[in-house]
Amino acid sequence: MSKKQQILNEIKLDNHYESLNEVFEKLDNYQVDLPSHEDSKRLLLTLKPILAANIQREPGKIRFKEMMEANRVSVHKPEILQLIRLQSTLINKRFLFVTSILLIACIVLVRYYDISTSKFLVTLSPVLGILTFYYEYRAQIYKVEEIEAVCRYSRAQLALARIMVVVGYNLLFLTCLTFIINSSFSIAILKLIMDCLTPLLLSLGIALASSLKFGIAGGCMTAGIVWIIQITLLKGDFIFRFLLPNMTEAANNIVGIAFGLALIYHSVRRLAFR
Amino acid sequence: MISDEELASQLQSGREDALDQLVFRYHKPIYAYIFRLSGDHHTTNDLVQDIFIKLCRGINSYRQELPFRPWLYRIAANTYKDYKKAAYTRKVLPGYKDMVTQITNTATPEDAFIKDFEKARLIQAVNNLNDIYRETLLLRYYQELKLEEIAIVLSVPVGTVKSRLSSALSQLKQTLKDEDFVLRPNLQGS
Repeated sequence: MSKKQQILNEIKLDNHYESLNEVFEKLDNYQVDLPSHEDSKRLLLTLKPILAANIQREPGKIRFKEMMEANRVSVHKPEILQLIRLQSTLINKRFLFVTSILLIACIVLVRYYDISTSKFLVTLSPVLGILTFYYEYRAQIYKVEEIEAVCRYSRAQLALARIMVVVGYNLLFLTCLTFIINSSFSIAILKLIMDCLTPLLLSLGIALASSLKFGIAGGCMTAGIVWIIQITLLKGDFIFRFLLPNMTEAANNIVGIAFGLALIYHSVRRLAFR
Repeated sequence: MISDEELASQLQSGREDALDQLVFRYHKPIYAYIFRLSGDHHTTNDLVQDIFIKLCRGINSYRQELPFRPWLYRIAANTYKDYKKAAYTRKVLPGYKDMVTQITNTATPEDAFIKDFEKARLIQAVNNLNDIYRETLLLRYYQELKLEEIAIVLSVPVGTVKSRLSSALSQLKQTLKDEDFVLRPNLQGS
């Protein structure tokens, strides 16, 4: 079958061969003065130094992924500590500004929905959990995954270090607030810290675990929905207390913290295999 | 004969003889493809050199499980698009000077003149096609790429390649049939 016939056959225009043949004949006249053998040799003279420089820069056939794997090391305590020190740069002015804005937003929400002052921090902490979640995926958000991928730490190590830094900051933030509230309303400090820590870890765990299935936006949305339910339907009460009403508050908190940590552990492990 | 994919693999290991073979195999086809797009020998020379430099620099990103030919044509097509975008920004639109002046200045027995005039008319008709139709037609008819390969080059489904090819031929047929369609002396890129 000729080339022309084959083309018409491919686009189901076989019946138009006669009428299109004239077009093909004209197309055949459209020839180009091609470069000579000497031109090709000249081109090669330009290319060879470039190829040599390229091979020097990327020796052998080592692929990007292999280089990435080769650069990784197993988890050792000093390296994680070093990583935490490096990741502590996350707590910058912008982060402090956003947390302050959240604080104000929570005050407004608590007042608007008439939530008791003791439940104020319980309402705030899931938002901090979602903020922590955002930092877990900052490489994807800022499109620097490639840079992150070639660093010597695995994604799980990075995720763990970020969780430790940001949750640590959140805890400090909440503890300070607790002291302020305690001095004004005489509420037991330990109880309040536990009340804050539980929804914080739980919302972070929910966000991370659901993001593995539904992506970053999906994870944020799921944790956000849980938070909205907590504010609107439960009037700021902790969601586990609603699910397990017969248990004591302390037991409720312990179950909540354990569940949140389990979700975070599961998510970090899954991230390591991605 | 060693396949393109094997040569590409050898090139990844830094073998210069593989580069020799690939250049001798593809210099002319890529030149023809770019010339039919740009219409200017000087521009074509620059772009072809640029394409092969990109081949050398990016060879490590080539995966052997993919066919080499569409990969190279994809570099060529993207290089031309980048050039055209930059030319548009500088307001120096690519022209078809070489083609047209070469053809219309033919000194001239009458039949040669008519023949050259017909050719110039065809070139203008091809260049008047929308870019997406023109590059599909050039890749299939002149470069003789398979539909599947063109789909890889242009990152579109095979069905889209078929419909573009069909539209390109229909439009070309219509334009060439049109008696009022005449050669304009100052052609500009589409």
